[in-house]
Amino acid sequence: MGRSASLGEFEQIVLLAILRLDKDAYGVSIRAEIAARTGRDPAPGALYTTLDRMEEKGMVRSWMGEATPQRGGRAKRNFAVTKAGRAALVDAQRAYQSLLEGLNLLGGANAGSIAG
Amino acid sequence: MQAASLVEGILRRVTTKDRATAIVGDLVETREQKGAVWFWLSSAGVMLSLVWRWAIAFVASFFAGSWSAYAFVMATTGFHAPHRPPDYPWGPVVEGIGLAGCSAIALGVYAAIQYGLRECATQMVLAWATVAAAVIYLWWAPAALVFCIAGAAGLAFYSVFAREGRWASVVVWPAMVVGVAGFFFVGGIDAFYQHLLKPGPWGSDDMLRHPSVPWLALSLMLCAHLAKVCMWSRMRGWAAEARRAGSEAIAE
Repeated sequence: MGRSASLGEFEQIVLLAILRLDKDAYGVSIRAEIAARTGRDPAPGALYTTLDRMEEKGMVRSWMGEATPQRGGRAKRNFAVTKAGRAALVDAQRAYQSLLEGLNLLGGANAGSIAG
Repeated sequence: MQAASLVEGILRRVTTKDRATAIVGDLVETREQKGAVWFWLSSAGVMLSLVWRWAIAFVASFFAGSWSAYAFVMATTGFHAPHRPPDYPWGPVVEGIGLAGCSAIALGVYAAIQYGLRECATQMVLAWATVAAAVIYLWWAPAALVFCIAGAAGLAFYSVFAREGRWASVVVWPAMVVGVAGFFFVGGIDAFYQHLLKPGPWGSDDMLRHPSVPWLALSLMLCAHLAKVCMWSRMRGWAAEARRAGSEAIAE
């Protein structure tokens, strides 16, 4: 089985935010979702360059959506995670889960046999 | 709204029209909550994040191309050059390879910084640059020359018969052609200008010391370099788009 491309931490956060937002994922909503879930308010520049980079890698795809008056009549750029992006995210999360196994960092159901 | 249009106009210089529109739309939408100061700071941040890598790549590749041109000239025709090629038949061949090599080095540095070393086109242009540099410095050693010829043949074979190699060639060769053509363009215009300033084969020392001569040469060299890296970016974008369209067509 071939390994999917590796993902940085912020790339994983962005992909997870897009997945959570489903069809409503665009710049503003992705930033808001990340801020609400992680407490980090990403700089717009960092978000757009990350999205562009992931689109070039084939992990997300984008298309132009509708224009609204709140945006000065400018169209939204919507995002969705591709199969390759989902596979890379699953690989990265599996690696985290594997490293977490046996540690009691999160408590509760994640508590392992070594610590606690 | 004028501020937003201004930012959009600037962003269109550094990214696509759709992306610039969407980014400014997002900033305008958020400005209602966060205010004008946030809008301007964020606009500056977005511009910086889109431009900084390109700016570093442009400057570094310009210096790399200029430095390699100087080094190649010194190695082949310099007073202290240990192995100067004879005028015939090696001189013009080595000079031509050196000229192409300078373009390849400049493009390799640009592509490595802007797009990364993992890209096939970056690797290919750096491989051609290595072959050219090896010829310039080791043309007199038969074994090295055989290795260079074998390397060039291998690269040419890969460019024609491997799928990735063909896509990389679509990016590499048009940019190389623009780079070499740009050299002749700069040389031609600069010589023409010097002739206008002071008619004669090469003018006099007074004319060469005229302050406009080096500035014109530098400006022309920057323009030629800009054309070269723009061709790389355009062809890379076109190739990526064509590949994506091809993959989608196959998937359907």
